[in-house]
Amino acid sequence: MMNQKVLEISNLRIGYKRVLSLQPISLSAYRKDLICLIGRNGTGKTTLLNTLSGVIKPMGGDFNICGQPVSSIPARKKSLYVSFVPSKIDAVANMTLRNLIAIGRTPYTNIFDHQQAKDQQLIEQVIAKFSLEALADRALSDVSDGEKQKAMIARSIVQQTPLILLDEPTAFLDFFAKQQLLQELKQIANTENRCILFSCHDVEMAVEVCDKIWLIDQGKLQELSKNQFNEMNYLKTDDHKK
Amino acid sequence: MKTRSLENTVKFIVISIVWIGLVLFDLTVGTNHISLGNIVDYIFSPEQLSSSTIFTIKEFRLARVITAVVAGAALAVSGLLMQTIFRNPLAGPYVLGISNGAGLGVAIVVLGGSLWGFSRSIETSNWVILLASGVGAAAVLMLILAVSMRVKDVLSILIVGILISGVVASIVSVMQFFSNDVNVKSYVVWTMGSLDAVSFAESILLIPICLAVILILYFFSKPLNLMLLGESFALTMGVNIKMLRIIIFTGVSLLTGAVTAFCGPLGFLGLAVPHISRWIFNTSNHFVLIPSSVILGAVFLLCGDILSHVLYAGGVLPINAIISILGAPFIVWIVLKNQRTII
Repeated sequence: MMNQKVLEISNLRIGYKRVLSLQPISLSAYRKDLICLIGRNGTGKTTLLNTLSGVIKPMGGDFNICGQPVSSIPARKKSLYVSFVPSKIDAVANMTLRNLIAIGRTPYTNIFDHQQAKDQQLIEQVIAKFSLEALADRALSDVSDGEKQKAMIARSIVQQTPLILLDEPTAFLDFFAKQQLLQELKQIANTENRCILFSCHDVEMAVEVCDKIWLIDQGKLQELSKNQFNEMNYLKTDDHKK
Repeated sequence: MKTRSLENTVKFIVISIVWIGLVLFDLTVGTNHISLGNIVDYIFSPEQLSSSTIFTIKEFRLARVITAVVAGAALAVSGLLMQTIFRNPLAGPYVLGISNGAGLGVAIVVLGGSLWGFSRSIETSNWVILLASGVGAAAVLMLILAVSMRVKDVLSILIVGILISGVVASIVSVMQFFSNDVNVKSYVVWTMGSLDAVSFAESILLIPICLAVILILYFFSKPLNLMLLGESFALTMGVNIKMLRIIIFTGVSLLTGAVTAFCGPLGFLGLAVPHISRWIFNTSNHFVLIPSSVILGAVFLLCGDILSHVLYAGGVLPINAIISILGAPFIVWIVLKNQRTII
């Protein structure tokens, strides 16, 4: 079970509106991996996350999630494999944090969205784990962006997918909340046995907690270890600033 | 969680009681005097009533009340679903231009009547009107569906809908310009909306159409709940967005088309009632909001109908005007209450 492969990308070509964003990608990711996706604006980070989460189709090649080729997973089943946390969600009137977190169970419920006792138990457990008890019945419109973000991550945990993708989860947080969130993600990857891939512009902070870095530079996505990345002196060199 | 569902049950019981009370009260309202006793007799022992009373109750009152209940429900549900699909609190059955499409169909028949060579008045040719408005609504729907197949962005569809509305309204005003004053008057009266022109047989026809469509739409509550958090999020949760859009648009067009055909374009209700439901039930869950909109839409239109009969002793005021006056304060208040949220 250890080091089980979650994501296997082979010769995947991604792009948007028929323009290829990156050179073909071949990479793998495993359970307990916390991977930070780094790259400048417009280099294709969101395109990669959108492709992996199924929002847009790959332009060629394929990737496997838990050994299943994604093209063979029906759309409605995909939410059992990947959960996606967008960088920001709109406030929906009269939706509580608990409602939002419960959405993570919808791939498992029937057509009337009936939650069974075990679904409700799991939701309450995750609420407790994220210390959201006091906020659970507050409306989304009445909590901060950071709290909404946290609830959205709690939702993806409730969804129990092996792969969790986050698009700039730290974007709307203050310095300390960022550090706290990254620590929490690391803990989730480890204790919940998930593979987490997130894009981030707080490079130094993110590299600190991650074991692996996926760097997009000069049209190419490459995997680096923390040491390799530090040796590269990414933030100081000028090559990618053009 | 348990207390929440108990609370909702209590709320449903309360609004249902209000609903039944208004149905009974509305039956007694009208030009001829019909007492509550007559209504009770009509239900349990109709042989005690004179045939003219029975006729009045059935053809005028019952027909009108059934229409109010069904039309109110249909428009409220249409508005709710439009607001969800477009993620816009100002959406309603009007915005896609479907009501206007129905209006164009009617205009072609009524205003163009002299051109086509038949000049029957609007009251005596309900079935022609029905067909015309149905075809008009369907034509606009086809256009919108064609656009939504090609366009990914829901905002663009909204803009196209508004443009179609505008173009259709302009065509109607050109037709008004060239038409004679009798036809123009009869068209304008139709646009004011009326529940009185509907016969018992027609009102009975509305029930299965609207009930079936609302029931089918109810089964899509789960994907609709996911749509609240945005289209791309819904996509990652496995919602087939194009399919959902087509189903919802078709359902809404059927509901709006049928109601508009019988009662004229009833504005505002579809916009206001979903907000009132959200406020009363304090939820964004379509499993609760669809049934509550059904009841509250009926309650809203019944109130409008009662007021339009009671306020002016000499006749019936245009229901469209009454429901706008009734609904606007609610909307203003709700907007002021939660400024930070969208739907």
